[in-house]
Amino acid sequence: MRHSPAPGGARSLRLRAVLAPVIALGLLGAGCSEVVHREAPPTDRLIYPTGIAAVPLQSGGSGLLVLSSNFDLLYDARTGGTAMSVALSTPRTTGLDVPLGPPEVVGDVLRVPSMGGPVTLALDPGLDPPGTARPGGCPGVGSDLALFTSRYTDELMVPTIEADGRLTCGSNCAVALPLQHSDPLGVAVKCAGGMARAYVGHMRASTDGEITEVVLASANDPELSPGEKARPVPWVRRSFRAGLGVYALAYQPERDRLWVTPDGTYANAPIGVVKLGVHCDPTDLDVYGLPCPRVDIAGDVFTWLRGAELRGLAFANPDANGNRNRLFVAVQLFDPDLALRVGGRPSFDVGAALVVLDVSETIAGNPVVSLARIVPLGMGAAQLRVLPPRAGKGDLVAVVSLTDGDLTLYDDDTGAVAKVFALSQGASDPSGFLPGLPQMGKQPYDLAVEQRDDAGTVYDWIYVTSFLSNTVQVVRLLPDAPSDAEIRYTIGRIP
Amino acid sequence: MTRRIAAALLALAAACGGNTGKPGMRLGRPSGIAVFHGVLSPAGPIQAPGPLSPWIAVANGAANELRIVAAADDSTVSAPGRFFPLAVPTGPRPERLAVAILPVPSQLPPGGLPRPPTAAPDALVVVPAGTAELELIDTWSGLPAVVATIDLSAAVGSTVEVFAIVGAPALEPAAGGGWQAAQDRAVFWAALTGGRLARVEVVRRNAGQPGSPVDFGAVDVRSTGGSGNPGFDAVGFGFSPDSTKLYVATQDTIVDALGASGVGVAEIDVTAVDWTTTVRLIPVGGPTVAVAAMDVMERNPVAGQANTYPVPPVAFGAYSLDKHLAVGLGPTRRRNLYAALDPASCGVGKPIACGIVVFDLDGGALHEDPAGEQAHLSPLNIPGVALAILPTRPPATGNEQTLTPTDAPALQIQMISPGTGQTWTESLAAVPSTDGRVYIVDLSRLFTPSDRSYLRGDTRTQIVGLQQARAADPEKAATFYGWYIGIEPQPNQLLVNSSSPQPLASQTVLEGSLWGPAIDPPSWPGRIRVTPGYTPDETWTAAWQGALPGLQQRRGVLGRLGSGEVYVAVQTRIVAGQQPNDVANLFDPALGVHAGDPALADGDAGAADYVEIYPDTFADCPLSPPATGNIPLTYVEARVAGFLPPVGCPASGTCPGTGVFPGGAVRLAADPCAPGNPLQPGDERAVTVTIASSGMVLSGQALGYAGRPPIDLALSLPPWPPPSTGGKPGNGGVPDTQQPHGPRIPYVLQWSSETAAAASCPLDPWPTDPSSPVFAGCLEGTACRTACETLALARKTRRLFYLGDLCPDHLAFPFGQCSGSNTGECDTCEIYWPLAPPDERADQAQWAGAPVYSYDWEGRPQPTGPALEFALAAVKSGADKGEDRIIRGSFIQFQSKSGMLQTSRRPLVSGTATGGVLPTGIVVFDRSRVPGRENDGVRFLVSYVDNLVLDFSAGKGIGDVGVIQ
Repeated sequence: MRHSPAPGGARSLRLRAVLAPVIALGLLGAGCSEVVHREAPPTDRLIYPTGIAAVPLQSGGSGLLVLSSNFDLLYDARTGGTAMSVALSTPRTTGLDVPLGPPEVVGDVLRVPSMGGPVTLALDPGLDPPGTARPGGCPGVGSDLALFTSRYTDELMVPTIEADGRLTCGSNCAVALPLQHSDPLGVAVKCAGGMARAYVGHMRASTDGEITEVVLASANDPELSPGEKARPVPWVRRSFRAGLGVYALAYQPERDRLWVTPDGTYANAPIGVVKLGVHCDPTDLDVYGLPCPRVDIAGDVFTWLRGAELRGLAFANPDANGNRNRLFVAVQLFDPDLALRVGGRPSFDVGAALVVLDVSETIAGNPVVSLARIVPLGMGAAQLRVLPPRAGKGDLVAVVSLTDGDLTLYDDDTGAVAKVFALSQGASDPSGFLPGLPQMGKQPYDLAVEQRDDAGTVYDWIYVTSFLSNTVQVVRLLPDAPSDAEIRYTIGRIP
Repeated sequence: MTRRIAAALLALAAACGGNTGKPGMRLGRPSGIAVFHGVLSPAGPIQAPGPLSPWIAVANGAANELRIVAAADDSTVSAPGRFFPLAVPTGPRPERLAVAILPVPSQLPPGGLPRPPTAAPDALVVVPAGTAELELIDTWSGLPAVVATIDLSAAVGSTVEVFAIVGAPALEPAAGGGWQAAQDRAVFWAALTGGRLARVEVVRRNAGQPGSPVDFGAVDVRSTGGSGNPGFDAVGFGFSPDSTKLYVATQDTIVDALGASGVGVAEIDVTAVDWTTTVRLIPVGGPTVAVAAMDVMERNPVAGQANTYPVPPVAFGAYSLDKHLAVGLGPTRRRNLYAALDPASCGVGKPIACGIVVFDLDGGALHEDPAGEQAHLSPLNIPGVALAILPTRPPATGNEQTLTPTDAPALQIQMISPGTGQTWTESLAAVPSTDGRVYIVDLSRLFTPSDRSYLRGDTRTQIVGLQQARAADPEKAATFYGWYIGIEPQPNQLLVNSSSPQPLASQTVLEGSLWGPAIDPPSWPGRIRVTPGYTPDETWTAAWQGALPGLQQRRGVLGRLGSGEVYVAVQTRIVAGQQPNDVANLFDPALGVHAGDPALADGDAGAADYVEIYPDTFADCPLSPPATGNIPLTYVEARVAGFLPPVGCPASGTCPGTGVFPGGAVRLAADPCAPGNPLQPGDERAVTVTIASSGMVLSGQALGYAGRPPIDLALSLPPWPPPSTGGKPGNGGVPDTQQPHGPRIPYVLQWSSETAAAASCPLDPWPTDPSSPVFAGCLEGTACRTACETLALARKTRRLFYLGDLCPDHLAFPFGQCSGSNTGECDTCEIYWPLAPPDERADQAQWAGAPVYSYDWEGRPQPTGPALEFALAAVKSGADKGEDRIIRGSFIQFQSKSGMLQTSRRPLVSGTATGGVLPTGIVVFDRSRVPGRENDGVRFLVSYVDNLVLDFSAGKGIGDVGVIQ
């Protein structure tokens, strides 16, 4: 089973350096006898944190959901990961060099399978605080759900987020995915037309499919039979083929389309799109008897940028007309000529970039992308998030680069990078980091964004998990002044 | 760590051993590059600086520093520690570099601009990413460091950012009129966010003393709009050769000082104090992402003048073989603007193709088409997206430049080395692209040279494959292969995938190797004609009753309006209150749907296209019972009788759940559900649909719909009885192979005037308002539909590139000896591209019926012709093979090759392509001025995001490139 610790980071040299002793020790151990760790993970700290989500709570505040991956399997593999809800109410001091206390956990820490991935939310609008519409609304799910995969157990975890942010896990909390050893990672949620579905991308290509569809709510789903509607949710409806392993997914609600980036490409970099409205019969065949739904290609980034391997993707916020015309894709760059010579993706990167694509439609109504801009980034760019919309302006996009340890803020309104958090410059570092320290911690893995009030001013907030520093960095910015973004405090570092 | 220790030990050993090797550059995500003249020691600041020399500065975006190498030999400037390269600390993530010349009198001719050799240190500025800070680097003391910083945000009063920056002379009025460069001063023009431009002056502290420090001077920030107009964000700069005009590439709308509004390039007169009042819109056909200006001596390939060549002519407007090509340059320099179009606003479906457009600044219009065909010079196609345009003239000296031998006065020309052979030109440009290559454009000939021949040998423009496939009969349990569709190269011949077409009378069709020997006169006449410069790299499919591109297996709605019309629209079913989704503009003639008469035979002009309708449930639309012995079809069938204009949701109120089709709909000849569950007024049912042509349809994998080629079926085609009576839907008729074969009917896919077609097509651009009245004038049978389809096809058959390939010396072959099969006797260009008779081939009888290319070397320097021309026919392969009709979806497929491979350079190490993923900067340097390096020519230096710098000359071969790491 492939267990790369971080999206795209498996190929980074730095991570390989980390992996090497682990693997070596693992092999050594396997050679003598099977080593089984039964210890429970500590719940007062983050352990190789990966996924993160900023949760708008039913109570009106915000919480932070952080996964610890138990990447080195120091603790029990099936239950050695943790999902913790962290309070954001208490401001903390800044600086990675400052010993801080443990995370302020809300409720019990959930023990979850190891190797958790990025976190997606499905929040029931019926639970919104009065007068507030929370982003990520998913009618019909009945409760607030967090969704993330375990790459160790091939499960989709669907814990419930209670009103105060506590995490609970009922009997249906873990959904076994039908594709074993398939390296599930990305999750996207479709909540439209009475349907509430999760789509899980599997990084390992298989003839059985690379995308699994999970029903999250069934009562008003027009495609389900009465028998299916009676099944307790969540349940796996089907898996279908993408033709390639799937790295990341994004749902486009206005068009009912699922956009995917592939994994394992080296001679092309296709952007896939699934028209979820296509009619499939119960055997998942279309009217021609072909497998259905199918993944079409909306464009090949390789034609513009040779050596591109697509990673995370995210749509822009809808404009005034409700259109999402921009698609942001993080790409890692490899040597394409070396790839052709060796017949595969080289094991090292030579760069990274944010690719800004314009999404449009052909006259036949099929989606197509065109290149708007390429923005060089720090190596290891993988996960990205679009910040909340700004009135009359283009979006801000935050991207983490795992290898170089950067957090880059790209301003699509100006078409330029507004801010980069990288290595501290020492005396001139506004957050007081010592020279050479990575401001986002070592190997920033994932990030979450939200907009919330702080002392009467509305700010955008970015939360970044650091895989090796076992922390979450909290960045705050005024939406109209992204270049002035600052690190406010650090979560998770303990003495 | 071990590696570091080993490296340190090696370095130490090298030092002890007296090795004088230079350290590598240790680049870290280089983000910009510049060449400057300065005083510096190659060994770093610990040694006394040498004389004024040229240096290359590279911004290390990941390390907050500059690296410096000697421009003369690419050797790295060492740090004091010697084992490492010198680092010049800068602000965080230096992203942009710019250089300006501060001339001293020895460089300044009266009334002119600075001339080489440079006699004083230049001003070098660095801009950290995400800032508007200009950091001035010390280039004069031998101790390079940031010595001054100016923050343009302070001048603006809010946080801004620099997009682009360029250095230029500071101009002052010349004594004799005009403008000249001021001594010891220069300016930087910086594009700022918010539609602003900044003019920042730099001044040498002690005038006339080259070693004196340089300071920032006056700063002037203004909106590019001026006069209250909205500003535009600049993304690239270019200067006129006299430096009086600044050209600005922008993706925004430009509102100029005269009130004109549009997209293109902005021209700014920088001699004006309030330069915002001089903004002039230059409409180049679309928004732009890069720009350059140049006065160029152009080859003068105007029709009728080609016979002035005093050298043996060559075919295809290949203007000459050697230095003589410069003959015909001029007669005067042309002031041209070169701009790379924003790829979002150009292309096949747009009024202009993508690439680099050439604008004649004196003529005030896009450059004329040298072929005399299209409305203007076709944009020079660059793969990927152009990042910059950097023009250059010949080197000062060395073997990469020479003087024209016959022009008076002689012109200096430079060598250019595409893969097809060295040649000479007056001006060229390097264009780095997002695909990692740096393309070379011949500005004097206005084309992109090719690294392989599209006229000669196996790389020529050609068809490289042909295959046919016969579809299975959807009504039969078994597959029947009754009919062949193929190319009809000559009457009574059919070619399906054979090199040897056979007479139809034999009813034998060979399926052997493809296309046979290259030199095979009987094999090629009339097969599939191609035209270099027009035929694209494409996979073509000609299908009998084939699905129209983009209209296969689409979600749609089948409904009946209150007025009784039955329609199909391709879109997701509308939910009341929501807009439909995945909408195909069925009303748009560019999609190629044809309405017509269902009673006409399939394939006849005027026959109606088919609509296969797959209802979500058969209760919606019951199927007809199959004929005896047949299996049930899985769809119902209808014919396209007409079109219904788009209907959108109302401007106010709830969008109704039926009768809304923003892309228009096709009107059906009859209700396909009538036998079992007729549609009622207001009904709308969710279906899956495919729209198929009534006869043959040609499509390209990339280009999409490419027209309706006729097919020779030998006899008239009686229509089948309708499906409702048990007939076989969609089948034409029963060609009788026993009858004499019909005439060959060629199909010509060729460019025609877009201007004329556009004038008659009110649907271009497609109205955004579904209620636009123009739709009503473009219903079936109107000239509007023909014009719009013609326009769509014309845009797909534009010239792709201008020719400049070389044919063998025509007169080197014995006149009249060419047999057409012996390359030793023939100019191979004649074999592939025969001229209009009379020509000197000895075996003209064999060539009877061969296509004659409309170009020759007498008066048409650029050929014109079809992208494709062929004739189709179908034949039953044998009476014992069952099926008596062509099954819907049967097709032939072939690939065309343009033969074009734009000349480019890329990083090579020991001849192997290495890295070079994404260029981040480019600069040009005439190294021929460096003593001992005269033959190095003009060097282009390109920084790449993957930590290397490419160093090449356009005059050197593809493999002769340097890589600095």
